[in-house]
Amino acid sequence: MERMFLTVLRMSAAGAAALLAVILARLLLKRAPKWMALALWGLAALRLALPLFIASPVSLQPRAVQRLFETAYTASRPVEEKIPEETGKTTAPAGMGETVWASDNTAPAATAPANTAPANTAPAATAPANTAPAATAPANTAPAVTEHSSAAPVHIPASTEDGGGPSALKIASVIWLAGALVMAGYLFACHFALKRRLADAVRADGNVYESERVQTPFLLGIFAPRIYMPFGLTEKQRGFVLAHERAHIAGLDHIWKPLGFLLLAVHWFDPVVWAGYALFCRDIEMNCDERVLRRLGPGSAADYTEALVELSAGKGRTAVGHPAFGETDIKERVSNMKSMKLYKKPALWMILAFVLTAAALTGCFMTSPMSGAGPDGEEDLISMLEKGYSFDDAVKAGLPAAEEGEAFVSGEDAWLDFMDSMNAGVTCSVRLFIRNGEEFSVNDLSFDGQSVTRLLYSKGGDGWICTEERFGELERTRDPVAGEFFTFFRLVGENGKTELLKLRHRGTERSWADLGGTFYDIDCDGVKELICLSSTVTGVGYIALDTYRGDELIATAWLIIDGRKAVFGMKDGRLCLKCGDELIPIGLEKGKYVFGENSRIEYVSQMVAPEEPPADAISMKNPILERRVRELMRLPDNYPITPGLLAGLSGISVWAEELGDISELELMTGLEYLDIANAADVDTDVIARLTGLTQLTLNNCGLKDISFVSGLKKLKAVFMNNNLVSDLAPLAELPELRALYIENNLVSDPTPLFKVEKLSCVCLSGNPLNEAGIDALAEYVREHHDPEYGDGEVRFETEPARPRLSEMEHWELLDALRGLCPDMSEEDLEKAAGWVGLLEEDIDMQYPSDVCFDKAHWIFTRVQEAVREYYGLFRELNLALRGT
Amino acid sequence: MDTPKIFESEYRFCDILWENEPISSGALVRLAGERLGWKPTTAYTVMKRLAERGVLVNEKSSVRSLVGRDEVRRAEIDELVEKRFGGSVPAFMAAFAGSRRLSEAELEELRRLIESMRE
Repeated sequence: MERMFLTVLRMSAAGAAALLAVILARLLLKRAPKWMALALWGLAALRLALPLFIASPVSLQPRAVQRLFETAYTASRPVEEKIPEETGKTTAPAGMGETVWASDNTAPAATAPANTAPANTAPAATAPANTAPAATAPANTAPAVTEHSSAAPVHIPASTEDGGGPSALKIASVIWLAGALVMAGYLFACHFALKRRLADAVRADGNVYESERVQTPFLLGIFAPRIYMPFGLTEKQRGFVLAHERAHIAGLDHIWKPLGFLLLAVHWFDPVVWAGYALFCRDIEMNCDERVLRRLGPGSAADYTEALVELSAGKGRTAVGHPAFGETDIKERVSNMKSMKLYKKPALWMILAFVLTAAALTGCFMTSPMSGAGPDGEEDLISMLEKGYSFDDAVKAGLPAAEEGEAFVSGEDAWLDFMDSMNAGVTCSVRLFIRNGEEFSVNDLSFDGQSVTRLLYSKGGDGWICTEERFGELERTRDPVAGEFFTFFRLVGENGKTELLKLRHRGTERSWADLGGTFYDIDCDGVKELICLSSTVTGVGYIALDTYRGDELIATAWLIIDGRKAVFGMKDGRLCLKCGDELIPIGLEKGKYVFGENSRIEYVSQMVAPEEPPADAISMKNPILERRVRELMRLPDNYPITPGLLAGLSGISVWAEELGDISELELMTGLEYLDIANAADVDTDVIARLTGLTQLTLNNCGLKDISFVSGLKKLKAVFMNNNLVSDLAPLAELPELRALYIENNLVSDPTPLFKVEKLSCVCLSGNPLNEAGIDALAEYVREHHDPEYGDGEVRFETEPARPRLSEMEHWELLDALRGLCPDMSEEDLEKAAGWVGLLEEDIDMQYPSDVCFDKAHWIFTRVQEAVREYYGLFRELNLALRGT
Repeated sequence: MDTPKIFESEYRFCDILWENEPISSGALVRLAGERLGWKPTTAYTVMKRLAERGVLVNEKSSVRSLVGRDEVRRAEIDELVEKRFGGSVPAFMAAFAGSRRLSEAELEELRRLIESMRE
């Protein structure tokens, strides 16, 4: 309702200006036929009635006023966020739609040669990154995007008050609505009361009725208007009355007048509208008088006037909104008739004055100042473009204009407003002029709260053409699993397809395209993230990585580029990722996102600690686990950890040689993935109780006995490389087990695995298996494998995974050493190669010389490191354990 | 008994009644619709009002008047003469004749009327 009220206020302000102009013009046109004045009233009424604000460069309405209203609209958004008003923010979707179809008709998109349409080269327009749910004011958005927020319109206080008592705006809106309803109600009440009172009026002829309750003749009714008059009029009076009322009917005055009154009802608070209405009523009567006299001829003027005076003298008004014979200022009407030049056509200057006023009214008051924030229908865009409207013209007019892949040249504020509105889920639109080298195109982007439609005006073979494109739906969902973590994902490329962007995370690569717009646990921490990254048509990126719990921002995200935290910054009006001291411009090249050169991007974010710690906050005993939990869930040090938080973790990986007490893992009741590789002191009793696990990684843990896994019935994948396991029997009790990686252990008998029904992928390299066992296992897995988990292959190599350096051809060995020791010269490499055989026998051998500071010693040390690196520590461990 | 006051539109309604009575109420309502442009509800309302004032009576759906057209006219003229001419018929006649030229036939009719009153 507040929005409605604001719209009415705006219409009223605009209408009042137009009305004042008409009142002035009316003085000028005093001697002119009254139909001119009426036409002007009509224009002013349109201004009052239509919530459309068509932008025009010649508008006389002050921009400041318009800006104020726009601001107020924005501010009123939280109050009524659910229904984005059609009229919101200078948008006129209907009007725009018409333009669109007109454009399409004149130049069907199909005729556009595909290669000339800049659609191909234009980067993706996009549903923007959505940083906040609709109800969240921009102030809540992440620091990462505050540069944008600062460009958002200043909000009037009304929006912030809506949590407490009703705002002044709300009160005013209620008063306005009440007034308007009373006025409209009065009109209808009058109409129906009169109608009832006149039920027993006697039909004299056709639609003419007589009644003793009528003193002054008048018209009543909209669809079948009736003329009511008193009994006993003389024939002469009757003739004039009928002529007058029939002229009213012919001019549809019985419709215009109540319509005018309804407008007055809507704008009841505006004194100018009251004045306008009163004057309009007079003009209606005078116009009617003129029509009557024009028909009856000037000879009747005196008699007509007499009848007028007789029938109106001392009579009160009958009802509002109905043309009446003796109504409204008789004196003025009489003098008007006297001065009327009935036989002459209106003087040329009158017609000129009328046309000028009408044109001025239409041009200056029917429109709003041009604004970048709204598509304007002032002229069909295509015809404008064909007349040579250029990129520079748009820049001169301050409209949003950008160079492809470069900064905005002008109108960036309007663009950012558009982005903000989209992020807040508010209907909005913008017209964007883009220059890409020689090519010039115009984008009309409109966002309907769900998706973005782009009308691309580009130069085709024969002229300008318009193509329409619709971009994907905007995600606005809550995490269906956790219910509390709330982030958006949007990665939209051309044609709404998700863009391929590699996301690097701890050595694993995932393509964002794989994420498919659903929630995804990107960093394997058990909290599902939705990452939002989208570019704009200008190639200016807009990235938001925020986590919300309900409407509350609880995490701020940023990107890690090449190991450095990247935040957003602006440089030369251009959006950049700030990465250390370096500003990396975000660009879009050939439809691909560019973040500097060869950048690797990781996702990291940080939770924001609540002001009051929850009652059930706990302090964790194991500092290593705690650090990892904070890291994974992006909790700062002061963020209180609660059992609920821990229960939300679906996976944890923590690598430390001395992990200590891991009993706190049991608090993570939702744990499905556990990776505690490299720990020397794993408390397997604790792991035995983590029955929710589906994936367990215990590489390099020195495990001998794995009987603890027998109770973890949900396990699907087990990684136990580089341990001392010899007995696989406990694995036979895992019905869901599909993947087993147990390289470099002491397994000799694979037969227990024959009881694992779903086993699909086994890796047993580096185990002292007998060959018969391997063949049997290979056959078994081939038959039983689940294609979703593996190809049924059993990997087993008795030989070490890597060829022995000492057995290589000389050039091969040099090549390998070259890779391992890039700082060595060729000469040194030759010398180093001599050591390899000896070091393979005993990697820990000492340099056989007391001179320890010469070049030869340096070479020995380097090659020793290289060989260690080549085989890897585990290999050494394994070889030692097996006594080979 | 005073002749009841009848307003102009009611008089038009009574005109129909006088011409057609006795008449069924349905027929009367239909005639009022045809000749006066009245809705049935309006006609029934007026009928009831006139019945209350003793102008007509509606018995078993048959309507007849209780006062005649002449009586009503006379009462109106009486009222007019009483109000505007202090009860003086000659004054009234003078005013009436002054505002309108009477034809010979009309004068003759008036004379006969006055003769009949003397009897």
